[in-house]
Amino acid sequence: MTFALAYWQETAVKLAVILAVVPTASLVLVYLFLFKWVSFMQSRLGPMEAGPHGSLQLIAEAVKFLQKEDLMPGRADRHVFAAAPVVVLMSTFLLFVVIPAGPDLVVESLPTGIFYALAVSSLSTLGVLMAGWASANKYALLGGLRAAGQLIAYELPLVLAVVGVVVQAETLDIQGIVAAQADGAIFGWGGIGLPYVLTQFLGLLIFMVAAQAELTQAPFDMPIAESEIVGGFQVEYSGFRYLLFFMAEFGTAFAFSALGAVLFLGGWWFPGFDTDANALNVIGPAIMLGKVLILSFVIFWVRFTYPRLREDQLQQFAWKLLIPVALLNITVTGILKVAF
Amino acid sequence: MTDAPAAAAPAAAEDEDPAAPASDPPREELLAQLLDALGDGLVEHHLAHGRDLWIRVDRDRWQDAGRTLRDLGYTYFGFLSAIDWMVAPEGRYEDTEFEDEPVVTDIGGDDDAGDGYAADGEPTDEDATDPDAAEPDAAVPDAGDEEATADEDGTASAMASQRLAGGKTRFQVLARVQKPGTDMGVTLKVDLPDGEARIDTWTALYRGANWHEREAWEMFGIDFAGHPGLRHIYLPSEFEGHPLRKDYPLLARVVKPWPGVVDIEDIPPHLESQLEAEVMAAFEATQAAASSEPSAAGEEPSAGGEGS
Amino acid sequence: MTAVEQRRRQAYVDAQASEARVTIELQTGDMTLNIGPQHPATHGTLRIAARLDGEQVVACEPIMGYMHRGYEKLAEVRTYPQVTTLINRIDWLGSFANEVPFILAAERLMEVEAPPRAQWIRTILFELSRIANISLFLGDMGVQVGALTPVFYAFRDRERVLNQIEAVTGGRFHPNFDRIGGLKDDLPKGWIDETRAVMATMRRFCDEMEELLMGSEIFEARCRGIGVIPAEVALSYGLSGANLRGSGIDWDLRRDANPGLAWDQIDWKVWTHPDGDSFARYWVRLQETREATYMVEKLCDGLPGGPIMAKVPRIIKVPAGESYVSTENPLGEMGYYVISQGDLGPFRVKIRTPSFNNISVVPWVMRGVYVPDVITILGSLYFILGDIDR
Repeated sequence: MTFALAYWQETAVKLAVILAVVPTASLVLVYLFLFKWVSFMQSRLGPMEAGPHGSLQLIAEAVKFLQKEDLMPGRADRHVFAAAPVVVLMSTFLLFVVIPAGPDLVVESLPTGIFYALAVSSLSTLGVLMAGWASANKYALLGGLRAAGQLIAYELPLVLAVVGVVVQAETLDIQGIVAAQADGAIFGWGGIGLPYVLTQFLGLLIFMVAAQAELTQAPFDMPIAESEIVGGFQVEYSGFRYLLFFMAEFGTAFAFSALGAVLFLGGWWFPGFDTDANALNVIGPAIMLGKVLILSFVIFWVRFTYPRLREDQLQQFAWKLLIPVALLNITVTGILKVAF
Repeated sequence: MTDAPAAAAPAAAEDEDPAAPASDPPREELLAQLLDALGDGLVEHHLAHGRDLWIRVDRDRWQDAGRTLRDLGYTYFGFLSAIDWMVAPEGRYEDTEFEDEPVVTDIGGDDDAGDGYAADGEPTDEDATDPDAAEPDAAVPDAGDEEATADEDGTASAMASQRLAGGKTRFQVLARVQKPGTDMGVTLKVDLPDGEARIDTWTALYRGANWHEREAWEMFGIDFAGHPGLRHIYLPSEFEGHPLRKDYPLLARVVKPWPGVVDIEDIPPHLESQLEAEVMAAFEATQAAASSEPSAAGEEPSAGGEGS
Repeated sequence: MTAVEQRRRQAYVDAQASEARVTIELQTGDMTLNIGPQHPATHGTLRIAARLDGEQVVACEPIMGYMHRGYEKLAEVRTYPQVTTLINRIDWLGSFANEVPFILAAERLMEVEAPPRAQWIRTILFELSRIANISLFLGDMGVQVGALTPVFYAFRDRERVLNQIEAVTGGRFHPNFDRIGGLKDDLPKGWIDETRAVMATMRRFCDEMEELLMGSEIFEARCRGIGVIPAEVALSYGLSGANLRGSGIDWDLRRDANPGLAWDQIDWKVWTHPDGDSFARYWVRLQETREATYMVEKLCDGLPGGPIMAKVPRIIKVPAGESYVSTENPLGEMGYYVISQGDLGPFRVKIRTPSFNNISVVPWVMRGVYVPDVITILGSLYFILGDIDR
């Protein structure tokens, strides 16, 4: 399917796609996991009123947030306070630029795709710090400072876990990583390709843990810590601004799960197809969605089960456990790559 | 250990029979040790066999008493509070008879508001009463024996006098310590001389006394010498007065003698017969459907007819 | 000095001054953080003013009285049966247990003994109150450390206990069921069998909590070694209940100072833990809840027949005297010192509540802990605002 679009038309289409996909992704995740799955775990029903089985609850909540009063604390730093959720949401949007849903279904296929994704995902740290400082609230300040330490600490295991995959795939391009998994073989048998979860299981584990921390979900939700600092850096945000944070949180969860899916589970490829088959452009999104839901399920399952680690325990866990293990993973991968 | 209930029940009843235990060796031994350690400091005691030991100590030996008990193994701090033995000037019950004005204690001094406190918030002399006030005996029906004690200016104040381990002053400090692992405990009382509500602190002996003494100061106005910081614990810091003192009025009682009194209006005559008919019909309906136990709690059907 | 030198000197002084300003501004002093009175973790309106150095608490002081209702003053103008309606509301989660010590104190002064059936039923309801109260704690401790799910199981399962209490007394939270001389009513038909089933459910709940929360490594990391209170300090502050037994002191008023209820008629065990930290207190309360379910079953097995009310006059006038009765309530030792002058109502009631003493240890135990640990320790000491403030 090749028809030429002018550059500006192409950009407009891409923008529209992202603006549509990100909220939809958040919506799906929020409904399935935040409303229904957690309710099931907590032996209750969850929202049932808005739409069949409460499926339109998020629309109702979005409308509710939109019609709220725009509050800002008197002593807050006005411009920074307003900009903080936008910065966080911006990093989510930028993440979705490189996530593919099919061989040709990607907004921009960058040659250094995964590098770009990791770099852009750390922009949210800045937004969180801005929110914590500009809120003129001691609880927010505590939350923001905790977030700064935590998000920076867990960037490293995230990156190191991905390096193992990159070493094995020999490319930074995300579509290239998917193709490498599709074309790979397990001891010569190419039936299901070589999803890197088989060789990089340690990497997947570290990636999921680090993603949990980057999303400030329990057991790493010190920055929010509902029962202690009552929402941390988000405490002074309400209405539309809070909706931005909310959407960013779940959009980023979707994005990280998608990254995990392409890096470790084979992305949009399914055994039995050629890597550039057009059919994959149609069912690729569905396959991706399935894999994303598997990984998001694990993220939220862990979130609602475990208590939270204290800040110093959290830092110890990152620096003393995750990073050494990730380095070990890279070393072993490198050795095996060169040897075989 | 699980006896047959019928056999166990009389045994349990026997323990509670107040006449049964004629002696109480552990508590008697404890009493002997305390008398030994405190001597004259232990002014009076009361031993309820199998129940508890009350001792009244001299105010100057308060810390000695605490130290002795703590060294005897009574390391658990129960509580520390106070008792105001004055009988409350306002009435307490439904059939209290009132003057037109509530009884106010006229303290004299610069007590312009007449509520027992001088203009600067300091309590004035606690024991003077208004010579025009009604007899204290009429204020409380069927009260226990009350003593009218006369102090130096000849005015009388009514104080409840049925007290364990004696004492004649208005304020007494009350404390209790217990021995962990047992049912042994000692209740201590100290007389505070009238007009001088001050006593040594127990904070160095029992750390828990800190907050209890703060509360006793706040509620009774008792000063604890040596306390690290006597300040309000329950009430706001600008609060004036000491609420648990008997002359601190319970406003609800001053405003309205008894909360159960219902303001009743007369039923207008043209509605009276109609209401009476409705009530009688309802009453007959319940009588017809009544079970063995008449369950109506106090609503008399004839009340509608009276309209009092 | 020439003009140039003066200007240079002025510039130098200005530079020094601005650098000094920056240094002073960057020097962070202690920050005062108010935890409460509106805060999800303080179980009500308790305010903890904490001075923080970064995330560490330098000093901390609880400020209470937001719920002070003046019960001791109110009790002086109530008749004895009316006082029970007040004291129900002191520890509102373990409600029946509040009435028992007061009624026993009044019974002692009247020299009236409730019949055995009444004492046994009182004990059963007392233990049911304990289960209802502490099971909430078992789930709520999870919320304090961040596990949001166990508390839902706690609420779901303790509803069944509250249903049982409601079936007997008519009230889930404020039964107002105890009377001087016995109880208001007898047990309804079929109640004992239902209660046995409910006790089985509660045991399953305890097992679930043990596995889910106590077995979680993160929970252990958050609670072990946090808020250690040595035994002597605990006794000196007057801590009671599981706070004392979690520090290794083997003392239970039900076993050692039974004021006449049926605890000495059945076999049961007192649980202690030597560590004295938050984990120990949680562990002790879990075991006590499970033990209480066994106790209720044994009490139901041995329940004697007979009347539930002794012969007392209709208008109750308690003879003059003083008595103090304290019982092992769910939160700790609760006692009433009742002074009577032969009236319809008490002359003075001193209410000794466990949470008042339990919270008095907070300034001592919070020195140098982190902010998250403040919440953990507060949760493990387990207080109820009505109990602190009366």
